[in-house]
Amino acid sequence: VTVDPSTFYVTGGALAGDAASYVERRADGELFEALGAGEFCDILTARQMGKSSLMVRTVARLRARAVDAAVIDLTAIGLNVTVEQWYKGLLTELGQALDIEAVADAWWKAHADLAPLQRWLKALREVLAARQARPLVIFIDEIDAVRSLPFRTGDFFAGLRELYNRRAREPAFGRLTFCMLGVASPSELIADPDCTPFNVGRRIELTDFLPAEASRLSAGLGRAPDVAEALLDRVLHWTGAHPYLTQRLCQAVALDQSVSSSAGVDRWCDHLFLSSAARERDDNLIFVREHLLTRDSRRRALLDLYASVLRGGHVKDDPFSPTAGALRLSGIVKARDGRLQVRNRIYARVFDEGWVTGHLHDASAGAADVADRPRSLRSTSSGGEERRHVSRWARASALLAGAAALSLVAAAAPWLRGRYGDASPAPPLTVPLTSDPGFEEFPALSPDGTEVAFVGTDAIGGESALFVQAVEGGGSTRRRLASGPGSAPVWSPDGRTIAFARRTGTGSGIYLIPADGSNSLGRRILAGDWDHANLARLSWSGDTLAFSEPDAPGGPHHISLLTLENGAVRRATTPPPTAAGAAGDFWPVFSPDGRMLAFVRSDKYLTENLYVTLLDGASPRLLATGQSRIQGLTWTPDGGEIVYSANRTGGFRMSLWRIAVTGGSPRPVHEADADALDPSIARQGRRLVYTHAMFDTNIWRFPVPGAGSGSPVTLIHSTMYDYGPAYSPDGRRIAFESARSGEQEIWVSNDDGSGATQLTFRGVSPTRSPSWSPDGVFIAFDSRDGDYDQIWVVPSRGGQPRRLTSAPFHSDSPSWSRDGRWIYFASQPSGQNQVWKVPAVGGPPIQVTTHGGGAAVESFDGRFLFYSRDNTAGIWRVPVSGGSEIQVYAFPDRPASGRWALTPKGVYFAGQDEDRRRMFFFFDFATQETARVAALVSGRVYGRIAVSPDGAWLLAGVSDDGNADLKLVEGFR
Amino acid sequence: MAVPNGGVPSHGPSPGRRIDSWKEIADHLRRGVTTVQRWEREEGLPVHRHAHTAAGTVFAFTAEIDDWLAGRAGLSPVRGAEPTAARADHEADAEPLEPLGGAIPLDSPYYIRRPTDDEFERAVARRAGLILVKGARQMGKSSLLARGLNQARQSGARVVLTDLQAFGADDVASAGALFKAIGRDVAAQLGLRSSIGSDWSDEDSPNTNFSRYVQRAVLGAVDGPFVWGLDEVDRLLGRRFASDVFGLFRAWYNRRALDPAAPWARLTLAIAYATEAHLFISDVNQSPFNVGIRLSLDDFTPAEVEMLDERYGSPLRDPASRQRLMALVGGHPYLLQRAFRELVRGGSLEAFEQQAPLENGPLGDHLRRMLVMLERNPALVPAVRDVISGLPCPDRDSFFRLRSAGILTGNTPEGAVPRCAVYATYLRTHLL
Repeated sequence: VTVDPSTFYVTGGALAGDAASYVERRADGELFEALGAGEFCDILTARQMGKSSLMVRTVARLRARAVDAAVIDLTAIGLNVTVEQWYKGLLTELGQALDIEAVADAWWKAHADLAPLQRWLKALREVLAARQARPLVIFIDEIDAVRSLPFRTGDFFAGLRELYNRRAREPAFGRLTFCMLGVASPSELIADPDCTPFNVGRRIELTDFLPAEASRLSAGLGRAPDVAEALLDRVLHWTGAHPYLTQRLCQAVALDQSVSSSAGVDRWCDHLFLSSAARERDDNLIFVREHLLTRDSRRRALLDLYASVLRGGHVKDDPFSPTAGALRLSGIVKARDGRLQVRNRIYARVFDEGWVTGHLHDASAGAADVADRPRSLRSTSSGGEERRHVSRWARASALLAGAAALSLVAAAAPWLRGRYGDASPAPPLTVPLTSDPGFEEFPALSPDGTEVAFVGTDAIGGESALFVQAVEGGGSTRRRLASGPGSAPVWSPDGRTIAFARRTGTGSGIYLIPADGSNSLGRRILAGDWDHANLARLSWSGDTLAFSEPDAPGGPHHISLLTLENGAVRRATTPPPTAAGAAGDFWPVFSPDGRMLAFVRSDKYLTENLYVTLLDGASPRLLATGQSRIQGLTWTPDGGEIVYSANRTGGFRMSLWRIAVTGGSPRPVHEADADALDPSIARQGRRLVYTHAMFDTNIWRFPVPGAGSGSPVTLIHSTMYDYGPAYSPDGRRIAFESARSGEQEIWVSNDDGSGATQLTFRGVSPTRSPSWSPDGVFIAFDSRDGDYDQIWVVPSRGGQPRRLTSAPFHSDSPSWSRDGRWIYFASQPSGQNQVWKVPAVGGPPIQVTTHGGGAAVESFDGRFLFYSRDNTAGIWRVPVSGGSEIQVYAFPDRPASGRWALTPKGVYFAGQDEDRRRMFFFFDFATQETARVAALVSGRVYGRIAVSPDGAWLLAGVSDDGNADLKLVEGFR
Repeated sequence: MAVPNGGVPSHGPSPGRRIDSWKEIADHLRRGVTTVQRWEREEGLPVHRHAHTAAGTVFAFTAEIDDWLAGRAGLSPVRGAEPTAARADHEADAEPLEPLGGAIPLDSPYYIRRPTDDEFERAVARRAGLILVKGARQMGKSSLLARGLNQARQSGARVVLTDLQAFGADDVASAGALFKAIGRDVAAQLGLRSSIGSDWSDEDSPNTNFSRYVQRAVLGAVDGPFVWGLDEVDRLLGRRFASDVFGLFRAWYNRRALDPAAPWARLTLAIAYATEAHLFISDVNQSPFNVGIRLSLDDFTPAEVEMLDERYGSPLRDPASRQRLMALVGGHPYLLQRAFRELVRGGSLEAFEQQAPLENGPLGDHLRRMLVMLERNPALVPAVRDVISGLPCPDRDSFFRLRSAGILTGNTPEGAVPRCAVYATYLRTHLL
């Protein structure tokens, strides 16, 4: 038999009734029998499962049995139609199919007085049922099109149910049988269970081909029978006998006669489906993807359920679960023995663990999009919504582009002046402005650049206070404006008033205070409680103050605008829902023209990005990524650039960068030192001031009373940061984090701090969180790879690190299981940190906690996992094999995640006592009591703490007292 | 109408005569004022605005406008009117150069057959129900369509070509208006007596009306195979009623399977659309069809460039020069045609390399139109900025839209790069 392979297989649309590649399935017989017996049927299943082909085939078989059949394709009638046109269209389609169009048309015209649905039902009775001597089966294809019609169609289905109900009374209706086909669930088509035709009809399940059914496809491959069979076997290995995927892959193999083995089939499978280009090209894969990534609120649930199926979880095929129904409808899963499983290897490969976790990450964003939309919009078509959304973006961006173009011209002006106006512009000069002991920080230059306001330490009493001093006058011109802790000050545009946030005995909020020092109490203009100096930054433009405030106590911040004239407050930004658990939007700074705001958005732990937005509420534009911390920002006077302080080179190292508002790559500000924070540029005078902060941490060793002896000592120190220690299991070596190479890397030393050698050479910061394997051979750690922290493992004696995780979000704080087979880590694909684990030899990660989790440690008996949660003080516990997550201890205050160490008997942690002295405590599991262990001599604890295996010593990174001065760059351009 | 230099753009500082109002621009183009205003709005017709006078005061330069016109693909109403006069300074032994833009004439020696030509011809010969030709602009869609239809005609089929670009704004304002316009066009081409307007009934949906007309009046009047080309169908993408139209075409296609004896089985629809349209569609997967035979027009391969070089009389004899040219413009069919045109007119490769990315250079019209399209989609501009700065494309959606539009290339957002060097240089000049 010679077969044309290019026509044998059919890969789009319905196969003709006589197609050689048509594969008969059980559903063929079932549908034919049911329709022949006058049963209503419906085939509601995923796309490209062979619905239309089955229909075409069944039509031919029915006609051969003297049963009339007609097909109404709802897409042929159209979507932008009136309700009258639609019902008329149904009748016209039937009229054309049955060759009675003129009669139907005339009847329709004669009954113009009826409502459309009644007209249609009456026409079915009088034009069709009454004339039909033979039974008539009406197929309604593409039934899901009704969901895009501009009117309700529940009535249409109720009408079909009504026809069914009348069969008993009107035998003529017994001759009309309906079969509906489409990609929808019955509840999406009609909600009312009493009026639905779907629960009186027969549901025909379309399954993948069975191997025996598929065997006829080998005929089209154009090979010797044994070769064809082997090739088909391989095709089915990939496609699981999915109708479309099988036809498509067979077609490719048939057309490429060079394919003679499985490897050739695999190559085509890769080309057609698995490669990244194929994933964007193949309709079926695109359909599955779009179905899973639905824009509505179900996305998250769908993905979660699919993830469980993918990971081999026992997911019951619940016919009543809408999520399971939607998942089935996507076609990605099939039910087997009452459980859902991924339909075939192609889907499992394309929609794999990495794909799911990647999309789980932004699933909650999609859900919230819907929730945020005004209710009136939600009921309209999603296409309209999208356009509305886009056009608003378009407007905003056009404005931004316009503003940027103007400011580019302005940016060039000083340069031109410098080049041609001044004879020889002085090179920028960096000089200290203050040199007091303690901290002077948060400087703000007055609009004319002659004075600087800042937060410093009062010489009398050592309290924090707000000062102003002349830029050119030194400390002698300093005047105190207000006492007590407060936020960074900002100047009014006229330079006469300063605004700042503070907490006083009588109240907290935003205060205005005269810049001349005439009134140290000031006037509170907005009550509120800001307990975080970074988040309490203000900006003043015209009559408006920008500030950040949390949506709810402890929740992410957003930017608000306060109109001074009337005290009105309105919201300027909304952080994405993924910001839950992160700081959100803060540090607003107005552009010089007051039309734009630059601000910092932290929507993930350890991620702070720079954004700009117009003040009309349009979506903010991401300007700069690549740092985990931003510590201050300011605009250049022309509005063309933003200068900001960020740890772009990693670790704690903050330095100044500048980036054009139009985008591009940030450039370093060479005039400033390293460790530069809080930049402020005057509107006039080419002056930039910043805080130069000097700060060091070293690893201290504290004796545990009754076990260790002596005084606390600095065990590991350098002029750069050293912290985050971890004892090897035998207690003879210490791994720790150090920035002494210039980058934050992992180092290893002897237990007395001697012999420190660098273990990792990642060259990117931060590289952190060393954790020893139980046999001491390996060290797990986290380190940046691209935009995200990932988990790595390196031999503890040195060697090439191996990456264990790769998902596109942060994974950090690794810790080995006691049996050495797993590595626990914290990760947040969904915006909330959870504990995950990954096989130490590599493999797919598995989620351990479900209600939030962070750094985790397995108990010494290997039965429980102890962990902390972000932003909540305490330690939780979950059985290693899974189970309830209970809090075992609530810290008296909030230590940073992981700043505790587990022993068999209890937990050491760092905190403050009632007198706010910093010290270590021990919580005893047996007695449930907390005892003081050791007090810090100075500074505070940074990073993780460690306890030696013999219980004698505590190790911790401790900061020195630190010092911060203000510095001035004169002649900044 | 006058196209100076036989369609080859003028270079240098002289922008041609200045014309000072919408009326003059429209007169120059032999079009109505509303049409040229639409062209300016939608297609980047180069019209300047006086910066400091009342809004609405415009001017233009004739040479710029003619350039734009020459570069505008698929301008069917004008196409036939363009003179194909050879330039006086053209090398005597080479074929006369045709104006660029639109379909390359059937008998042109400069047309390079590609595998898609064979696939198209096979599909027509097999009487496939639906053939889709897609690619970025100026990739040769119209040329392929024209050849495929010509071949169908020679094999005895009745052939009609409907160019949606020829329709006015009113004609594409609704499904009804569109179907009426198409109906009139087809009736005129086939010489049908029955007019769609007289058969139209507002009781029926536009789809129902159009189906009826095509079945009765069109297919009823044609014996044997009927091949219907629809060019520039991207004009419909993003419109509210687009899914009605595409759904109807799909339904016709499916009817063939249902009833092989029905007139629909004689219809082959060949549809060409530019993937730039994806720039305007936020859902990048909103492809008109998942059925039919799809032909995607790709860049020229080095072998095809060598062939093109030969056709132009081998101005680039050595492989190294061809490599240099491809490093500049990639395998872009239109840009290559432009380049060879410059070369056979005596320009050096060095000069072309220098002038190619310039606003008033030989590719200026093409590049300008890319920029205009981008600027109409400002949400995508930051992504382009990132890529031309050497950063990854920030999000998947932008990447696929920009890749469909032929602006970027690469397999993943991380690996995104500008399509060719001249794009990169031009975009850097204008966007950074």
